[in-house]
Amino acid sequence: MLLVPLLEKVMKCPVKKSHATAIAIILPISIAGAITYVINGFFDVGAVISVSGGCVVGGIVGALLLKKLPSQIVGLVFSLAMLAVAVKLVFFGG
Amino acid sequence: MDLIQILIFVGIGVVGGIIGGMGMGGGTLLIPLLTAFTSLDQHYAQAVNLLAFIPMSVVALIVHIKNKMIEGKHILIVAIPATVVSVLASLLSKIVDGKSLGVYFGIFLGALGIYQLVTCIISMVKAKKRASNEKNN
Repeated sequence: MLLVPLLEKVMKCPVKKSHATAIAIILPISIAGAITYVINGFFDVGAVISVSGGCVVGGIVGALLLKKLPSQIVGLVFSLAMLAVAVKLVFFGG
Repeated sequence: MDLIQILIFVGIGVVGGIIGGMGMGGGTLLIPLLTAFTSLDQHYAQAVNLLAFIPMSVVALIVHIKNKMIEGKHILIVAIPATVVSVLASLLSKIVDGKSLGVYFGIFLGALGIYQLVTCIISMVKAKKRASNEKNN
């Protein structure tokens, strides 16, 4: 959630490209994170396989949607999502 | 695991995948959905989120690369420090109290969100003005 504004405002990357590029940047981080969780034993095979299956389908839909939607709508939805997460973290303890 | 449980997992995966594929942070929704609607606790949900993100993002990235939506020059400059910092932060997170950290991050994210919202609305107003000017001309 921090990468998109960083790419947009600091690197002057266009809105939609910032979202797509953020995924590429998060990928190595989530691999590193996933390894630490698996090493610590937090691994539920059934859940991982079924959620991953759904996620792959959703990922294709989301990627196509990002291409289709106008960048102002993408920016608006994303800023509202950021505010929602902020409210949740501050007032409802994550 | 019965069929209904599998369907719930798959459904939550689809929702998280759509948001994740758009680069809007699918995990922010995926993790609370998993803890609310399945028997997984926070740690297992976070692990599922990170693991499911890997195949999802590979597929989403293939679509984005085909659509020429990836800005290659930014990836390495940001990815390397971001990965290093996140590994360091994960080591630190064992020492730091998670709850107050969440609140600070929330305040920071809120400020950033307001800034993002304002710049977005300004660009929308500008685009509308431009469109109406073009109409008048």
